[in-house]
Amino acid sequence: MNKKILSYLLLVPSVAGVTVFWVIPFARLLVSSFYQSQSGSFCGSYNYREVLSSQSFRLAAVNTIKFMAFSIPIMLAVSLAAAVLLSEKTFLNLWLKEGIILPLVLPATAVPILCTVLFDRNGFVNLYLKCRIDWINADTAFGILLFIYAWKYIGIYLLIWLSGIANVPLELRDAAYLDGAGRWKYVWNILLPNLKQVGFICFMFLFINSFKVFREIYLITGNYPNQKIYMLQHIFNNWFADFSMDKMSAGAVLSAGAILLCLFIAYILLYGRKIADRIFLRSKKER
Amino acid sequence: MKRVWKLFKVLMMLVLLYPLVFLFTGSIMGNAEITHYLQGVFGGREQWVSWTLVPQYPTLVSYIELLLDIPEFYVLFWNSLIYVGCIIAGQLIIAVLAAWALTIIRPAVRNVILLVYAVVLLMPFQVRMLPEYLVLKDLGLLDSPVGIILPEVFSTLPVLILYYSFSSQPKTLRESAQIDGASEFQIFYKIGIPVAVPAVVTCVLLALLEYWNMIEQPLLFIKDKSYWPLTLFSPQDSYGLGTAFAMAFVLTIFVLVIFMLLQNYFEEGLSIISKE
Repeated sequence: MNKKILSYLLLVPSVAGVTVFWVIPFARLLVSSFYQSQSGSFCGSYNYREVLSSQSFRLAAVNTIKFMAFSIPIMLAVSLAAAVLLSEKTFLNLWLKEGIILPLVLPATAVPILCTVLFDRNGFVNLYLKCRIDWINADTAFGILLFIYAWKYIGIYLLIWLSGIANVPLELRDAAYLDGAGRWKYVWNILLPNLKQVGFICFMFLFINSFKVFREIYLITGNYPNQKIYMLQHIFNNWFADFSMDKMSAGAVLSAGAILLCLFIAYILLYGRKIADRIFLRSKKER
Repeated sequence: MKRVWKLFKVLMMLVLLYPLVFLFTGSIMGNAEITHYLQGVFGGREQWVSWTLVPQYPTLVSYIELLLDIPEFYVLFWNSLIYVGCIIAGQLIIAVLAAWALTIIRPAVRNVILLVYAVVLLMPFQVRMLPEYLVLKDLGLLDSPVGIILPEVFSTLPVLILYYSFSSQPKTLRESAQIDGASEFQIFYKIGIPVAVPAVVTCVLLALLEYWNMIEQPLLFIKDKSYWPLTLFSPQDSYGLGTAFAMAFVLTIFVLVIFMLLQNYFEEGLSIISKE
């Protein structure tokens, strides 16, 4: 009994902190999104309509969704491919891995320097392509951003995939080879199905982190980026500067709702069958 | 075929390591030479960029300038260290206790807490921004380093990682310790913690990568620039390109060394997460 009480006491700091800094403020946010902050009067869905009809919010939302739709699958695929290719621990592979991890530890100052030297009007890319495109401030900005973001953060997903591959028992591989499966067959039929869980974890991290692309945009272009890379974080910063609390709260609730819905769908797609089976089995037992 | 593949890998590695080499050569060039090469992109002149891997006049002057002549560098570097250090220390203390408790309490309560924590974890900064601002305003913590540190200390990611690490330890280990007469504290201290070291290191490194590069929070919540972290400082505008390269190189090596020292634990810790 004593142990139970003690364990609840240990939980207190964390739960209290999360409640004070996240749960209560979120609840307040949800309520305040239905009120006008100036007059304090109830206004129903007015804030939401205001946000949804705003041109810049639509632009930012489309850009953010587009960025996620491109960055998540590309990075999942590339990091998985790299992990499969580098899973054997040879000398060269270990160094390649370090090379892929390197951009992770590059400090904030280095990113804009490297990016400018490469993609400026007079930069190296133009020098070799013999043209004068201002890549970062033209319509190409989105692609460049995608490239920089993938280059910078792919290392962490490589490490996660590699750790997942290391967990797949080697007997499976040996058995497959004994049965006459080639390398590709082994990867496709045995390795990948065993990495589903790891894939979901990578997906979750990619999802959460894709919002942080704001950092790279801010470092490279400052507060006023090209229209193509104007993200949700930018519009929230603008609202913050104007003290448009109503829009901010409605926008935040909308984003939170969209995120939860997305992940719920992803979760159901991956594990739905398992859960359904379990519920089905339980109801059978009760009968 | 195998040779071609090997050659490709070597080439790939050179490309990947090139940024580091680039920063290093830039840092030993001295301002005049580096400006000569890069004035097309940084100086506003209409001229192609160029580069060399062997500087004509190698010099350490950029490093000396960085270490002796730029007071902001120390202040902001120190700020960054304090932010990262306090956040990591706070996160670990709170998360280790909470995660251990989560393995003991009733499953129904535990599942509710885990679900709430997972949802909190998923929220990007744009959602947290206004609520966090209002709380900090109520607590009078705006424009102070504590206001940046405190909310992050209660981040839920380390709690979840450590919980999975604790709960993946075999139950028999604890039970046998109990039978041998170990108290709950002894079990926690002698079995729980040592086995969870990889998970702890994973939390430390993830936090290091996250908060070392923190931009959004200080940008919005701190007006006093003497409290800013190093991320918001770019020396090339006021001190010349050479020092910017030197700073970038020094900081890269600094984080790289920490990362490489802990990398083995980190990979072990990641494999625990990926099993769950």
